[in-house]
Amino acid sequence: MVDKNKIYSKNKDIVTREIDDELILMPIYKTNSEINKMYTLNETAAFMWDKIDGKNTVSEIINMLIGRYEGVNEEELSADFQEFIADMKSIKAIV
Amino acid sequence: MFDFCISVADKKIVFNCDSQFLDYDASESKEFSEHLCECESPDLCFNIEYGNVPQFRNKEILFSVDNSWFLCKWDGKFLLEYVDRTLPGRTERVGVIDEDLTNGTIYINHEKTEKEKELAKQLRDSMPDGMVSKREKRAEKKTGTVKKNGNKIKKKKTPLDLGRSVMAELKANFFQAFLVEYVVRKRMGFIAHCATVTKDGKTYIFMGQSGAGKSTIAELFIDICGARVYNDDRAVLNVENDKVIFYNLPWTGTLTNKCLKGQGDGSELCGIFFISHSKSNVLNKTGKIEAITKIFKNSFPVFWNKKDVNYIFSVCEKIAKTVPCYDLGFVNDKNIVNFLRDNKCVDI
Repeated sequence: MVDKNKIYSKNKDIVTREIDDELILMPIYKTNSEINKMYTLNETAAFMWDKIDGKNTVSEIINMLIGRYEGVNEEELSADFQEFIADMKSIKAIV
Repeated sequence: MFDFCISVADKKIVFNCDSQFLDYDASESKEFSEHLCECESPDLCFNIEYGNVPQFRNKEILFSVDNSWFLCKWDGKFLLEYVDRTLPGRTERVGVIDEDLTNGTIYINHEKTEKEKELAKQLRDSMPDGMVSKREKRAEKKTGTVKKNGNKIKKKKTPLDLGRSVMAELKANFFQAFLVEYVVRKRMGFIAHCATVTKDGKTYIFMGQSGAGKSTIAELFIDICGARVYNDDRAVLNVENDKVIFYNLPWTGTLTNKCLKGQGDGSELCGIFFISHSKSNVLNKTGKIEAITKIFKNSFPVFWNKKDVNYIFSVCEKIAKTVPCYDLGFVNDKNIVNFLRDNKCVDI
């Protein structure tokens, strides 16, 4: 379970490219053993990524998502965002 | 002692060596000879020093490959170092290059002594399978001895022999690793894993990692429709004035003897295929984002530097925007050329 008061920041060692509504994430590597790991975020995930800025708390971002996706179940949005946080943490894209 | 100049992707690169122990005739080299040019106003000069490699302390490692290649920052300069893992403490080659990449010195360690060779062999034998790289296995095969009447005798190397082996190693390892950085840093595009097939002013690129079938499909195009192949393994790709251009490099894959030599003829790039071997010929248009990531994955990127990764991405984006890209699974037979013609993906 993610602490909803937690504030996450983007890892500075990551390159992002916005193409159409999607976002490509490419971590910077210092050895050849991890290369070719690239991640593509869809529009919703790209919105979540944008809001992780070292200022917004998890619950604030969930509220922004609720505001953006009217009609979508709040619990579902919260679960999606928490899953996104876990994914991004696992690839060290956020700290 | 030797000096010569080659032109790679429109840059003139000089190699100069004053050592009496090394001699080299670049016009004898299968691949360098086609890139030889006049030494006037070079873009980059390399001095080659042979003997003991100096120690460079306090270097900052930027990127490493298999714990044997290290790209470092040292005293405001770039340092590219190759260490023989089978002989701890022995550095085989170090290149020290000014930050603006116009002058460099490459230090080549003297040949291993018999004692060092024996030590290296012992260490390699004690390593578990998979720990010994292909390069180290190849090095092991080069024993430096010839058989005469069943007895092994030591072959005495002339400066020319030594120069040839030093330059072959430099070309295959050091220079290749260096050019990956150089091309990107000079904003000349990037080096990609691809075969470039050309005919009637139209060029098509087949991209894929080793084993994907680049040489195989290039050879089919040579045999079936008389296309020419500049290179079956890599090229420099860039976008200039909304046109994707490529430059040839002095390395080929397995089709060395069938490849055209020289820089490239400036013909227009008309299609990119991301290839793989398949049980039947399958073709799909590649989506934009997928194409960008696939081009990127088939590049030799500079992973350690954010600005450079961003730059490579920007070139990949332009390429994907400019040239139609396809995923192609292919069967290794002559039908592939007509299959691509019928699908209006190639027009040669």
